[in-house]
Amino acid sequence: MRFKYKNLFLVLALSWLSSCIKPYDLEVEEQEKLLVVNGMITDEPGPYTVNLTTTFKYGSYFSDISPSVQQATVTITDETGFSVKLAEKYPGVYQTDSSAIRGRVGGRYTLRVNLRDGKQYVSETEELRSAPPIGRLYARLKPVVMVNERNDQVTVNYVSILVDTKDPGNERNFYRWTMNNTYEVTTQPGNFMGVDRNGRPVPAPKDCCHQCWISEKNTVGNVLSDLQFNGNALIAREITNIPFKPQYFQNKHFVEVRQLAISEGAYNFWKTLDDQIAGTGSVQEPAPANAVSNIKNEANEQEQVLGYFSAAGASKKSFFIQPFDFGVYAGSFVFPDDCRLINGATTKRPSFW
Amino acid sequence: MKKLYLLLLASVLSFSPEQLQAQTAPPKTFSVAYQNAPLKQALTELEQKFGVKIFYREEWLTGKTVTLNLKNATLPEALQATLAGSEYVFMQYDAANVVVMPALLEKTSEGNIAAVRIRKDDIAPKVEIIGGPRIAPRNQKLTLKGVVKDGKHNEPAIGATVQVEKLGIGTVTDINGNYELKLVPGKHEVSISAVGLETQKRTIQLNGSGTLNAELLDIAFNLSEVQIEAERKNNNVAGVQMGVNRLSIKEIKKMPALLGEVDVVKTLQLLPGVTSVGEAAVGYNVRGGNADQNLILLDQVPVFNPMHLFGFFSVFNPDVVQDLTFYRGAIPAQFGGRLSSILDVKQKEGSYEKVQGSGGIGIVSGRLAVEGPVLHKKGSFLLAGRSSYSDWIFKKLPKASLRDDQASFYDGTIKFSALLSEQTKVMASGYRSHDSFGFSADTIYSSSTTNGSVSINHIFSDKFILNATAFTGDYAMNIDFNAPGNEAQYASGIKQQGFKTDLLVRQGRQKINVGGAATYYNFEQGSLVPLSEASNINADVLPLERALESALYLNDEIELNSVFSFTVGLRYSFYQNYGNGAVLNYQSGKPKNELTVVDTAYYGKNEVVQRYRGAEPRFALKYALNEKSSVKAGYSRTRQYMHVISNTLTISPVDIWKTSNSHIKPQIGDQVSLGYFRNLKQNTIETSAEIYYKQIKDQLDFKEGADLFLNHQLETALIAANGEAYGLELMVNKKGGLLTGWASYAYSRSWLKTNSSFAEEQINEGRKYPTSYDKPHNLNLVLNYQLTRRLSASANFTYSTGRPFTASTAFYVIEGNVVPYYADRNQYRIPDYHRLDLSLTFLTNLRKNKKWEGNWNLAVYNVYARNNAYSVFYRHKYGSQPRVFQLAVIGTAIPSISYNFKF
Repeated sequence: MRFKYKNLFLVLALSWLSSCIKPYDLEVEEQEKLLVVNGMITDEPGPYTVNLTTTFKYGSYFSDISPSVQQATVTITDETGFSVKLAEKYPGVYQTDSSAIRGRVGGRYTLRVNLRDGKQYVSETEELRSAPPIGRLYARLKPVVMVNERNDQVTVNYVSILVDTKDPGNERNFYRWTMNNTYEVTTQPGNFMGVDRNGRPVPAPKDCCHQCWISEKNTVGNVLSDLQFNGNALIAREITNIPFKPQYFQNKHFVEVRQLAISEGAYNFWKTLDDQIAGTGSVQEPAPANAVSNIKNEANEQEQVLGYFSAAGASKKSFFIQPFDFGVYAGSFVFPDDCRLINGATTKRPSFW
Repeated sequence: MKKLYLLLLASVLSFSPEQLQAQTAPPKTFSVAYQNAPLKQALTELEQKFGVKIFYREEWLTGKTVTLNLKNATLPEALQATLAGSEYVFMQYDAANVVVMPALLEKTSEGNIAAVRIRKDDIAPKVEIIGGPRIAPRNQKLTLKGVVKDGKHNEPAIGATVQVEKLGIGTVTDINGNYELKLVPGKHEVSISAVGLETQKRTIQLNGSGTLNAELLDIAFNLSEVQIEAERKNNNVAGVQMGVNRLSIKEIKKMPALLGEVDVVKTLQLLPGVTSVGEAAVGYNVRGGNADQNLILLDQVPVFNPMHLFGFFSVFNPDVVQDLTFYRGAIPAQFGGRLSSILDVKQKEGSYEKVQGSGGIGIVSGRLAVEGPVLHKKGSFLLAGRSSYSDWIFKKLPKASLRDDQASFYDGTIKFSALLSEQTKVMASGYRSHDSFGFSADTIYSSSTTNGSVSINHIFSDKFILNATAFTGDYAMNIDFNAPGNEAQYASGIKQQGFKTDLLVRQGRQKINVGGAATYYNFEQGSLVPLSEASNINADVLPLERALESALYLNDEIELNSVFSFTVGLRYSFYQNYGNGAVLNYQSGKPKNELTVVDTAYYGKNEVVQRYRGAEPRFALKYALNEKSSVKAGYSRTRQYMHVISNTLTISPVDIWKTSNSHIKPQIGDQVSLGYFRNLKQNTIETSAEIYYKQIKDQLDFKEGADLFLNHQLETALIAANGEAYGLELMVNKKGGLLTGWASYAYSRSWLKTNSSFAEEQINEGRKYPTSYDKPHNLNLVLNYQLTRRLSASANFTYSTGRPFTASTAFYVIEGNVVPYYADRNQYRIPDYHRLDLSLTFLTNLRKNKKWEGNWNLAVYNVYARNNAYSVFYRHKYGSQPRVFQLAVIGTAIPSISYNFKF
């Protein structure tokens, strides 16, 4: 159950009084770059990844040099004192050796980061709790009525990905869901149109490729505490909504949902993050706040560090959505070009396909 | 009598002193004896004998008798004797007209009795004697000449008709407005008329040739009322109070309003020192105070939410509101319980004379009010209601996804009053307002206010007047979750039952108010309850909190002499928070959080958990520099025992009212202010300059990212902060003439500073930071111009510095999500706010004795369609740079039309 009140006023305002959102130029002072740490250990097999980055200035997203923090020493230690060092696989991306450590339920894990300049950071200790299994993972067609530019009423369909689960009643539980989906697209490279010297379109069929797979990740916070349903079933928790469009549903569509049992600190972190990401500018929204990190500089506790290191139990479930599952067909995807030009597409058939 | 001023409007000016002298002489004295004769009969006889007209309201005299013996009494003596022993006094308005009015009205400045109104038409015609005292021979042709002018513009009325209808004689005026007429001697009725101007009928006794000049007035001049105002006209300068504004609903109705909905609260925001965090914000901020520091009284009962639909319209029905008084400076000791301001909204009483009504139809809502006499004109009733038809509007919306949305509101007032005796009046009133809105069918928000009160007003003598009120109130917030499997209802609210009494004592040059008040509160801090067996929601109920707030006060207004007057007041308030279960104790010397809980204490239902008490001294001083200007100073301390818990900028549906308890201390405010006041042009222009400095102790703020919803340890999420505010307010207010309105400028600052030594209980590391409503420059212009008798135009202009906000100075990426990083709180400002609104009011029917009076109001809100930023926020769209955006709630000009009527 999420409170939608923060959207409500925006909608009231929008609908009644034609409110308006436009870009705004804000001059901000130069600010030092803050360290951002993000990593997680689960009871699934490794490798486990920790990312070290810094904050960006506005307007510098593409122009700035990579904000990754390189050549740091990153270790994960458990309650027994056993510790593994993470190797830097890519700039700023540190990974465990997949066989070196495996998260255990009940294990207590701490992350240490030593930067090249000698600054030392340590996370609070996180206990790994077991995740209840996903009871049911399913999809449902959700029609949303909208009006197009010509003021005609149109129904746009979404596919809601839903989860049912049963909450254990003996403790406080905090959930986070993440999702991976993969779908196959069929395109028409043979229908590609090029242009001649005079700029007129001419047929320029391509040989490749018409079959691709696209994988996407949905990693918005999506967290929930069991405060209001402790010990009960959780029914039809919406994980995401995918537009019911040919690109996504002309062929079958694979969905994998991971249900994570996170700590209260991680829950608060992701919840705040969610609020920040979903901001609509309404004054009815909670005042902006930074998601509280569990990492600090041991020598200087005043230093602002961002990000979170979590330990979480995980349970997974996956299924395929077939093109005719909802009784209607999304249609054929029209893309007269090489399918590899679509963002994230690959011609490599996934192993589970 | 010196305190009484007449607002003589336009038409009455036509009675010049010459005319009065020229009147046929009435008898100088009169002898009569009455034995238990009806008072009305006595007055009627006086009218006849002295040839005057006496004005009074019928219900004042009903059932009253008089016993007296007059011998050769003059008119004043006769009136005095006749009215002696009643609570009425008289005033000789002019030689031919006498006004009888309640003694109370003359003396109090509260004016709780409706003003006396006299229509010009009722004033007795006088005979003007022209051509000397001796009448000319019967058949002599005499010349009557004169100038006819357009009274408003003081220009000659060309082509005006001057005629004596009975004789069939007439003429028209020339280019200079001159006319000449041949007439026989004797008594004539001359009628003077011109196109577009009101016809004047004059009775003359033509004894010889002479002059009769006339000034004709515009037909639509609907100002032919003599209104006796309870307030001194020079109150701005002569009164002790400062930081006070009184507004009549008449003034407010003229102003342009959003969607044509006359709005008391929005009008308030045009006064100096009053700001809000933005368009469609609930509540307002006064002199650097938080929105929960304003006490809003509707017929003496506190109202917790003054807005419909969380910010768009105010809950006060313009047909019912009589006037409002707004205190933002030194608050008199009669009021307390909130730090920053008092808004005292008075609803009118029903008419004791006849059944009448008013109403209106606008874009958003329709309203109707009916009032009239009951109990043989010894009582009155008033019934009024207003309801939106905005669900209908949603159905017309271009976005079909919004057509499932709903938003509606209504409010209703019922009021009875009865005169139990000449000295005792009883009133009972009820008020209910309700809002309901939903983003989808799954989640419906509703809120309601239900208030009731009974009050009694007893006049022991003109020196002792007692007022007592008992009231009850219920403010409830609900959220209904209707999603299958998750059916539940969230509820929170506050209930109050209270009693207050006030005794007004006049003693020489002193006016003393002494009294007390007690209110018992039930704070429902929030409960979530499943609505069906199948619901997966667990019940979660925060315990009820109870408290008793009481106060005793004494306020003494002393007019030492014409130069010095001052008010000393003391309010002493007591607060008791009663137990209802567990109270957590935290380790002392540590920040309050889950880890520092030491133990739990249990308190029974009526056991006192925490007591607070304290004195609230109030002081005000006036020093008159001369008749037209004065200097005033004031000091007040106020205590506030209840707080709105909110982490949003403005009050939102999930906010709750919370009592002071062992963890949350009361807020204490101290304000000193100094002002210079000057009136110009016979008190028609009031000017003032005020400065103030204010300190607030223990105002609540919240920890970053704190979750306040159904939080069982709310105290761990809250932080006490000390506030500081100061400012300068300048105002020019023009009250008379064709152009009325005000201009005000305020410079004001307000700050907060957390006082904890623990990092987690600090904001901006314990440095002072501007409040979210710190808007240094504020300029307001409110103008109304009477274009013609039918048509008036109004304009509002407002400008203010953009409010502070917490800016994101950088962003970071976590798992592909772009997240803004926020630096210190409130260090940046959104763009400045300015807006112009215009309106035109057009009266449809100008005939006298009309049964139906209507007016059309055309308004345009935000005329030059400025995109005033409401907030600034951050958004990232896939494939583009994260950007800063501004949201304008109203991004265009909003025209509206409404029709209002009276019958």
